[in-house]
Amino acid sequence: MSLDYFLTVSVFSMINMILASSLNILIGYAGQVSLGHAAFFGIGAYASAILTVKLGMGYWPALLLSVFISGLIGLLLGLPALRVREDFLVLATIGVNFVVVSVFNYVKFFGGPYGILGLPRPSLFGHAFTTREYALYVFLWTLVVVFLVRYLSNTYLKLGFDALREDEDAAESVGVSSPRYKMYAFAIAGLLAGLAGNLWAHYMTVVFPDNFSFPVSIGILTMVVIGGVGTLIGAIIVTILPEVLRFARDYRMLIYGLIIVFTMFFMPKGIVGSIKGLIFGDTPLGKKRVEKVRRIAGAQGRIAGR
Amino acid sequence: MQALKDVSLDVEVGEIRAIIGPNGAGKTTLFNIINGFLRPDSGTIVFDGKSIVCVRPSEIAKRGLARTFQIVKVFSNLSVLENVLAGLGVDIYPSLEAFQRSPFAKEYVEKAWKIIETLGIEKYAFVAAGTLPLGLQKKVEVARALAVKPKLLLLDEPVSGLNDLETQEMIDVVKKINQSGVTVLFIEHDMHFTVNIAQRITVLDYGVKIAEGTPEEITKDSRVIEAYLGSEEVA
Repeated sequence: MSLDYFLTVSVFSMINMILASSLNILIGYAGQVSLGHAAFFGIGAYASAILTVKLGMGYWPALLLSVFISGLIGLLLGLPALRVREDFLVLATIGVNFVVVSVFNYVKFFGGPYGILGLPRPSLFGHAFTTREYALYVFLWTLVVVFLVRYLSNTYLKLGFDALREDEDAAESVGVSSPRYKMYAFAIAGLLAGLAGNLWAHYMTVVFPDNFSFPVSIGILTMVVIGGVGTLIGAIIVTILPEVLRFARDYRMLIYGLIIVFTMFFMPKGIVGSIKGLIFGDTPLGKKRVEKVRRIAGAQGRIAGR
Repeated sequence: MQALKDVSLDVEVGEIRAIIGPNGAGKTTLFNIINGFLRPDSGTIVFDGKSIVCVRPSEIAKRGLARTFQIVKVFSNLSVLENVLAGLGVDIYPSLEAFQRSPFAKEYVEKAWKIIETLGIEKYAFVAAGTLPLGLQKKVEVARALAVKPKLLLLDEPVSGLNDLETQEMIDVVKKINQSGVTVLFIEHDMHFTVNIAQRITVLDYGVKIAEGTPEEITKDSRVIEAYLGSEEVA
């Protein structure tokens, strides 16, 4: 196993973690199931490709702009969610995915089926990143995303998303405006997926429409579902499993599929959720928070034991 | 087909008002119009001196109008505590503070705990609300609504499906809430509950207000008896 191979798999794993985090905000937090997430990923990649290759912009301004564009388009593509719910939203997002890929494919400006070639690697102080440095660079972004999501999950934004996911009417009744919170979710998801797209595109240095087709969306959804809400392990498994299974040659994808089906069947809460459930029992709050609350309420001498 | 027609209702600050009527009379529809889920075709709703017609339900909540639901709508997968914390966020959700404030900050947890104590559900604070029996879920809904700091609290059948003990507890809770200065408007079929706490009762039938008065007046009103039991003439 060469270092390059290892680096590539790691980079893909990390980019997938960012994608999974992004989709998790939509599905796991806000309950807006999207089966077109590859579209957001693609928009980030193509935006950066066009800005750098066609418009000759440097990597760093292109990074900012492409992430911003993805967030904005995420917001716009989230508009259907204001009108449709649940299964209809799933269909609508699938549609969005097909439309976006078609635009990449058939609009000349986007390079058509041959894509856009020759994306630059980012450079700092005149030194272009080597593959190793790029992997480190992706790692840093992954950390940023992980901490950002952690931070957000401790805010009222998250509780608003929770409320929206659990019951839209009840959420409204406590002051959560469902259009506003759906837009938030789609915008944040768009930003993060756009970042993943940018990182991916400048690693590969080429983008093709097929890289962002519907099966890719299913892959991203699988990562979220397999690991469980709010976890990243699924992204690693989905990326690495097909590599680990290379020994099985022709049967590789068959075994991969079976493993995924069985995980979902026996661990409906995802791998992390199910194992946590086994160890700690079902506590929706999590141990640390329960203790914190007990401390606060207990300090007033008012806590009832369980 | 009109669910409600020419219904006019004045709820005084500080009172406990009941709305009763046979099934399909339009009681829940009236609630849904008041709290903004539905828009009336005509007419106005004035809350606290301002019109709230065509205002979003989330904004109406912010102005101090909270409600519970006939078919309970607790946030099932969240703990009871989080259900209450969610209500405390009513002023935070629309502003960018939502990106900064943590519901688990001391001030919110303390407030939430007080409300949880008012309802007597401390024991269940860390349990997923959806796993609780109906009686407790109804209390969780009331707790969540209280967290919104309402001036007016709408309760849609607060004791339907509850046993006698739970009903009595709910009577005490609603009285306590009212004494703390919250105006209460509720829908209920349970006459024991209604007569026990309502200061005035409004009766709807087929979307029309047919009577209004004190519990004593209402229980003697011939139109009310007719609406519930039918008239003496056989059609």
